[in-house]
Amino acid sequence: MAKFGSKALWRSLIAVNGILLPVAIGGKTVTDDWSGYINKFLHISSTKIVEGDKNEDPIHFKSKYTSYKDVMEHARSVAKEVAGEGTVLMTNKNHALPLEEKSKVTFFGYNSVDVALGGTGSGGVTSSAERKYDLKKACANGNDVKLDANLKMFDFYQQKYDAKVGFIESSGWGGKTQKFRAVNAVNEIPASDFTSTETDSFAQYKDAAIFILTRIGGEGSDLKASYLELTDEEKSVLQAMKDGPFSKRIVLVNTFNTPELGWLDDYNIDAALYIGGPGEVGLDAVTDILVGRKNPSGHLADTYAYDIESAPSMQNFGDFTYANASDIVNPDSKKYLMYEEGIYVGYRYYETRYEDTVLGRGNASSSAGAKLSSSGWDYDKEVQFPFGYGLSYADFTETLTNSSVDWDNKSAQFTVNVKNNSTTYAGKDVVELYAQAPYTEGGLEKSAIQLCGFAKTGEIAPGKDTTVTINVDLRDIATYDYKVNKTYVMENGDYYFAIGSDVHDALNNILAAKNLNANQSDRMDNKGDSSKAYKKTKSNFSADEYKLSKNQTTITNQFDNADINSYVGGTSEEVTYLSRKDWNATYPKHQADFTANSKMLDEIASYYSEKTDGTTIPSAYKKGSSDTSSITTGAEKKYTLAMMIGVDYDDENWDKLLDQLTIQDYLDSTSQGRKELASVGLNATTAVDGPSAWTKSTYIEDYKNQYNADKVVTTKEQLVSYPTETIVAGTWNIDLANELGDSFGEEGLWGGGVGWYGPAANTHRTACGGRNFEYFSEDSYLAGKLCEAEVHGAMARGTIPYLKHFFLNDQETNRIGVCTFANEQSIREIYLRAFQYAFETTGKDDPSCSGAMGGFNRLGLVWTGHDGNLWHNVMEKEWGFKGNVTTDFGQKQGSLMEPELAYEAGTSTFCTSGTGFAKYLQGVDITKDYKLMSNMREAIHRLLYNFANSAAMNGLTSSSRIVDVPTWYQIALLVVIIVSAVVFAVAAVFYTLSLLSSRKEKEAK
Amino acid sequence: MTKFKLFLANKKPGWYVSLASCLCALITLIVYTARGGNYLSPVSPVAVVLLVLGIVSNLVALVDDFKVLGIVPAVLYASTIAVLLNTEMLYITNVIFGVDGNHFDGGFFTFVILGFLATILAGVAFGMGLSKSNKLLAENTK
Repeated sequence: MAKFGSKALWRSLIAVNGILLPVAIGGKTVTDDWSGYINKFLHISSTKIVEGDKNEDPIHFKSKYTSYKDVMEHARSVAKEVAGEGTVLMTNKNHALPLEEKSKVTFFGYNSVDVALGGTGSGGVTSSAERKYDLKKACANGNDVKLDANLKMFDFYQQKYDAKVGFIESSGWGGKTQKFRAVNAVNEIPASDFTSTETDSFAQYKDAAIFILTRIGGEGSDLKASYLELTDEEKSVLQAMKDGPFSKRIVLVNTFNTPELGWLDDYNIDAALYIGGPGEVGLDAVTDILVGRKNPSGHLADTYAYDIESAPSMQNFGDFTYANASDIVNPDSKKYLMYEEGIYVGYRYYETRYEDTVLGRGNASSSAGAKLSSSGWDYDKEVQFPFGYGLSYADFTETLTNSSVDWDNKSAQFTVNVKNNSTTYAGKDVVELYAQAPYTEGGLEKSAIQLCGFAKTGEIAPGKDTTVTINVDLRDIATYDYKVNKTYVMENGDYYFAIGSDVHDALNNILAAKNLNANQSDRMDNKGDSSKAYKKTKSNFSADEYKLSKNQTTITNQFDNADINSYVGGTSEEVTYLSRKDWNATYPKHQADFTANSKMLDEIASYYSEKTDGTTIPSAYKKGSSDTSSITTGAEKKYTLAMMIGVDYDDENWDKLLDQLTIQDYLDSTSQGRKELASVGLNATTAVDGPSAWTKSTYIEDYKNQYNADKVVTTKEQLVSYPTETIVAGTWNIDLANELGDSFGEEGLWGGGVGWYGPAANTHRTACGGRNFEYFSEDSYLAGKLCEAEVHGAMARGTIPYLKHFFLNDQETNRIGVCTFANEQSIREIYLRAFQYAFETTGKDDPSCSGAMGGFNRLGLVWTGHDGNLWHNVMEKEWGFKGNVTTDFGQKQGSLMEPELAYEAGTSTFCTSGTGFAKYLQGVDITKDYKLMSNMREAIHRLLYNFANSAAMNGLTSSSRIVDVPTWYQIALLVVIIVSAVVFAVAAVFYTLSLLSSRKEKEAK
Repeated sequence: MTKFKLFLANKKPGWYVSLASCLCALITLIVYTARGGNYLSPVSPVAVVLLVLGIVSNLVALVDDFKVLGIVPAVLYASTIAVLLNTEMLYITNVIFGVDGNHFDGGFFTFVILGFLATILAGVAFGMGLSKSNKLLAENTK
């Protein structure tokens, strides 16, 4: 052996350790930065709770269950109940449904072997395959046979599926990938592929043919209008059903958006069920409905137009780039979107235009916006299923038995008797109450009808009846006057309230109360029932009457700059919003190639800093004083967060707790996947995406033990995937939405987490929104009330729901930074209201949602997270919101998410952002900017307040302490670094010496 | 041609491993930069520089085995991996925790796998040695 050992050995050691060392250093950095998420993934903790007072109960939010299996079973039962109540019977000719049990049926449609249970992206279904109900299992589960399904057809489709026939191919780095389905691609097998094996089987399974119409949606892209039409392949299958020997033809509408269904009659479809995205267990409920074990009681939460492009909002949906985009320095501000339809979204457009057509005003019967009407606009040619529509196997009669309006107290009350006339079927009914405010031609824009109350009855036995009372807050039907009074107003005139089987029926009832009926006016499509409407005249108008919010804050314009006319008003580029004064002249135009003027360019630039390293800041931010000495940090640790449970937000003790924070705590608070804040006694928590599940999360064995690092035992069982929110909306059941929220909260305790990125309450502005499946409805009242109930349910179990994507983020195209313009009336009455009920608090019994997630989009030219008017003036002052405000997925993107501006506007934290923002803020040195540091302190105050009143406190008592404990991977990496550094150095020295030695030996020779 | 044959004749198997390492690193560089970045998975200038330096040093080592400094490509490739671990963590977290429903794309897999492969091969090559002894080399070049 050579004097200094084997050269080969030293070379090998150098090689191994030369690689290990830098990788381990990089690994150490990354694991330190991302420990919150890594620990969550590994189901471990980097903290330990040193228990304090043993007499104090450390579990502040308790579960009703003692085992995760019970939680899961309950969650699945809630999911099934939601699917059952949210499924809508759209048509049922000659009582085609329900089918007899064990009917012999044939399923058609490629998607019958893999029904879309949910959308893609954050709202997707992630539960295990064994737990999911597919159609086969939903028809026959063991000995429980509901339907005898034609297995030859299943086999036919399954063989195609296994062979990946028709799969959608996408190319990218690493080759091509194939998916069974993708947004905007329909993968139907044409009927011409059926062989005699399949067609011969029809005769044996002819009780019913059931076609699965599937369309999906997902995050990051929108739907093309054509995607919601039938393809030729689907038509061929429907034709085969029509030509086949089947007694009944049924369609299951497995979509998250509203497809065009005008073809139902073309193929002699007897019954259609909207099943949305049923979630992991929902198909079991669907087959219950098919065989009559459950009576459908869902009602539509959206209008179904024969041609989805007949909605005026479709004129300005999709991709719009400023004509002078090259002049815009901010890379994320080059796109725009104009909500030119104003308040006329969904039924507010179709029904208002209908009334004006009936009344012959405002050029309503002109051809503008008419798609299928032969001469002029005709409601019946444009709308197939109105908002609120839904059938039952039973037959209900609703009678308005008592009505009262109290103008002084801004309230109204209506009592409705519901009689089940069926002799066979028990069932639930939805009572829908609508209102009409008086419209003056040329005056404030008003929808001819708007939902102002609803109730779902309990199950009513055949021949029995029940009574429901609906209380109306008249603020909900006030009009936002953004031009003159700049607040809500209730004008004088005749107000109508009406019940109806759907919005159109209710409007006809109102028209009947105006002494119009189908006999007198050929423009009315049905005779209304005036006994179902109630008129009350208002004559004491005051401009101040509705200007105060429920917590007595003056409501006034906050979004003037979101109105494009604030920049171009009075110029040739002024935008005209859709107006009842002239439907023809004001029908929205496709606002392509809009040129941003110099004022807009300047404002866009003011929110932009070219460098993202903190060396430049946007000019919109004015730095504070460099003296931050008045902000105390690192004070003696006398207080813990657990001591602050239930303490008022404004209590002076918060300051004492906040004084204990270190500068590092300030930096660590930036991230959702953050580390613990041990100095104030807050353990590490994470937030998980939704809204249909705690995505990719698994149950733990015992929720009471998850808070100590050493005791967590996880399972492999994924948390439950619930139906899409379009189905939740279809239930029209506030109690059930609350129960759903409660179930989310339970699952949060048992493995989900504390922060839940859900629910979502953006608006179905068009039928093509890629994430419509995550949102409830086109109607802000229905969405808002259900959302509020779900949020309250979850919060009661200690969850912090981050209600998203707040707001005007109603399409996916260009969502990151798109400049979204809308007038304040539509903002207040449509887009904010869907969130308002959850965020607005009227006291302890009506808590404000404890979290919010801002959208990626801009309100006008300002990113949501930079808009102080939104967070401070509307959310905090008007609505009393004190929740955590997170961004959408956090990343400093130059033009978006500038931390200084975000904190100033009210942002508390940056979603899933690792340490990027912390490093940025470390770079700018927050201790040199009083404004920034005090804003951050207030943001942490928010975070701590909400965590103190959430399940984040479980495991902690007022005297317990949180202690850092190094995780195994951190120890391992440290050991690797030290050992590899030493070995590398030693090996390098010895290898060099051996080389020198060899050289000397050679020279000596 | 003869010189090239002689050049190869004096190379150990480690030289070929080093060549494979260099090719892997080159493909990694191409895929990484051509894939482009987004806000989740940005192209890191530091990673690019380290990778380029690694490839250059690898090429130099292939031409002229500079003994102990032959570890330089492996260290640079490993450093690139270390940088990528940090810059890709936002993307990795996004995917693993189901935020936004993103998936790892083929490009990501390609540059991660090839990057690791380049690093390991460079280390193995150094361990094996790239060229035969100077004495043998001298005999072969006579």
